[in-house]
Amino acid sequence: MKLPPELLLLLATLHPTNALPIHRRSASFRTLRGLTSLTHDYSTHETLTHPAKFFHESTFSQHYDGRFASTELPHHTRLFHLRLLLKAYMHTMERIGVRTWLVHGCLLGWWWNGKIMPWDNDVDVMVDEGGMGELGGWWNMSVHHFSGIDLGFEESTNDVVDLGGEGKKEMGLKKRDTNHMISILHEEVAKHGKKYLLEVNPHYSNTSTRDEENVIDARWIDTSTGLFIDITTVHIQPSTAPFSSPKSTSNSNPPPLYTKDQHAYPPNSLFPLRPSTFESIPVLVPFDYTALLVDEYGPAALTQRRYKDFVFDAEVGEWVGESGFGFGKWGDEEDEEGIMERRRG
Amino acid sequence: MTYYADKPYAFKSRTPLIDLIPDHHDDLDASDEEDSFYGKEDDFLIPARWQQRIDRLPRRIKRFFVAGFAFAFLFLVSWWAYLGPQYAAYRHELKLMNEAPGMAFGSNAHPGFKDMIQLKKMDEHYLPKKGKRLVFVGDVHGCRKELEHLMKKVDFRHKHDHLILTGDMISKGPDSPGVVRLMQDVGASCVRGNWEDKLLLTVADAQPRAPSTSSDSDNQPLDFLDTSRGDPRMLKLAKEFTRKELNTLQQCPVILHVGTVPHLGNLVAVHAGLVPDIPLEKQDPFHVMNMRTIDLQTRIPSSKHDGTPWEKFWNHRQKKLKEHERTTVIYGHNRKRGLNIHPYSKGLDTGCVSGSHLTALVVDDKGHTELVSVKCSKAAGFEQD
Repeated sequence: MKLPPELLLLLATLHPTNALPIHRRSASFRTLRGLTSLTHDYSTHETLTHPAKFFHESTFSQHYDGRFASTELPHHTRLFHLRLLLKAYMHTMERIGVRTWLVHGCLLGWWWNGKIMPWDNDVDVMVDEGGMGELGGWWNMSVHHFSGIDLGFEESTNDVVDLGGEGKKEMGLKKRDTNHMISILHEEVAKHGKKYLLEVNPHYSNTSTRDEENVIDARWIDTSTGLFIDITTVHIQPSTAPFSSPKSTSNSNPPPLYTKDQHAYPPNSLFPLRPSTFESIPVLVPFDYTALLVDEYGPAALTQRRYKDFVFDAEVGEWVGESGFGFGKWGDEEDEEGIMERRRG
Repeated sequence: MTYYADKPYAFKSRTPLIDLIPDHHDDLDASDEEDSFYGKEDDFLIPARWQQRIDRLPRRIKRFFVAGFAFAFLFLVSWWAYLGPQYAAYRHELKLMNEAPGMAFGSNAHPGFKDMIQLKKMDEHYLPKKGKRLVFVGDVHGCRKELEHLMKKVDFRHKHDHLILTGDMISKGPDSPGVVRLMQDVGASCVRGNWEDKLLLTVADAQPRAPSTSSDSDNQPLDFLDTSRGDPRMLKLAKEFTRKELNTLQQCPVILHVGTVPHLGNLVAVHAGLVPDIPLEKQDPFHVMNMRTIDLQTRIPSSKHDGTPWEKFWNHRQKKLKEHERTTVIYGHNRKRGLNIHPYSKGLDTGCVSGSHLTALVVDDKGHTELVSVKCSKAAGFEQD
């Protein structure tokens, strides 16, 4: 059998590329030209301080990917983009057949009223080990294009869809402004659609909690805004008694679970998952959702109807900004840090 | 005794000097025939006047005094060490149960779950009227034979009586599908227990994503479950059922509003419990199927065994309501507490599957209740709550 020389050459190059060590850092800005609209990388350059870290945050906020974002979004458009981000993600995972569910702040938002909490600026989801293997093995660096229709927008932009309903809560000028802003955005998304990038951290196969710099296993990134979903894998705790008899293992509880960011989950708290909706998107939530929330945020997170400048209006089922316009403290990053501290802690 | 003064002229006579030394014979009067010989020596600690008064008291009372003092001391110590904290805890609990916290559990509104019925109203014509009865049975757990035996014992008549199962009809026991078939035969009402919940969710999760094409597979056992997902024990159990039987379980609501029965008032059946002061449609379904205790401060229920039992709080709150607003809950789930009958809560899980009893609460048309139970044979199954 005679192979053409070009193919032989290709085979020859294939082998060494396979043998290369895993990338230290997420896809470089240079390789993403064409996907990103930026001309300059806004990621933090932590090559020296964190040489093993894969995903990097932007220089201005840890909730944005600096390769796709140059600035933070105002809250209204941020919520708009977050919803689309989540919708596209859930839709894609459903099609791929990867089981994914809500955790952390997202789950708390779901618990209160099935919506992203107005002060939240990220979305957290979890997948199981098999699902992560699937994403890492087959879908790494895949770009998913969603047209306006895919995202639920009609081509005609005459009917202004108020996506969140927040616009109604505000008064006068502000309301008109936000409505206008949303309608412009709406038009743009309906016309061009959105592209999402799924990037997998090759360290996902390292299940040790000591790998502290790579606790996030994958990112689902909105290439137009730099917003992203953090995807973490839930691992099965290795059995402490490896030589136990098969009879006892078949009769005992399933083993406890953990994630690399040092969250431990009792065996029956996550599975079987419960189908529900979040922002009107079909999602899955953990089996014993309240216990997880109490464990992570304390019982006050389920009883306090006041947080920052917001009050939960039980009649409407919405978090309402307390002080009129209520946007004075939106960019209050210090408090955001506080939440992150609590969440990570 | 001889003194110089007694003999003024003594100096004239030669008296030996030794005679001049006073010998105090009369002073040293230590006769044991006198009372004072036995009396207490005065230590000058108690003033003489007081001492006299004390002396005047009879001996018997003095003894009581000592005993009384000892008792008071004992009481103080026990109050300090045990009774006091107990009483304070009781007072605190009462206070917590009486006052509604400003920020309590239950003001949220999560969107609810797919394929789960939160609340169903029982058909009114099942309510006990003219000889009709309601028969509530606690956690059957696949003990079909015992359930049949119990129904025979209460003289269950299909046309007149209505069977209501308070969840956990399946798993652990020998014949879970048999219990479901029996439910179908007698047209029983049911509520969703934690085991039904787990089974149905596991089945939904293990389902292939393309919906089943053949509709006549209703009576076929499920065999196309994706075994990589979910607890293998649950999947094994799921394979014993046909689709139709699973649909029957799927129709069980989390809360069954039975209706109003004379003398008993408003009746509600759930598997585990309810949080007082929250409307039925807003009760958290997970806790309705799993709670055992409740935290009085936050009113967050818990499936743990230690803490204030939810039914204690429930009964306390019901007594505060007007008579017609009160609700009686019939439930199961808590095998550790066993038969647990209070005015406004009736716990019926008597642990049939672990070889104890299966209990029925029979409600007749006059609102009289009767508890009937049968002994269960020890059934093999895996132990878990």
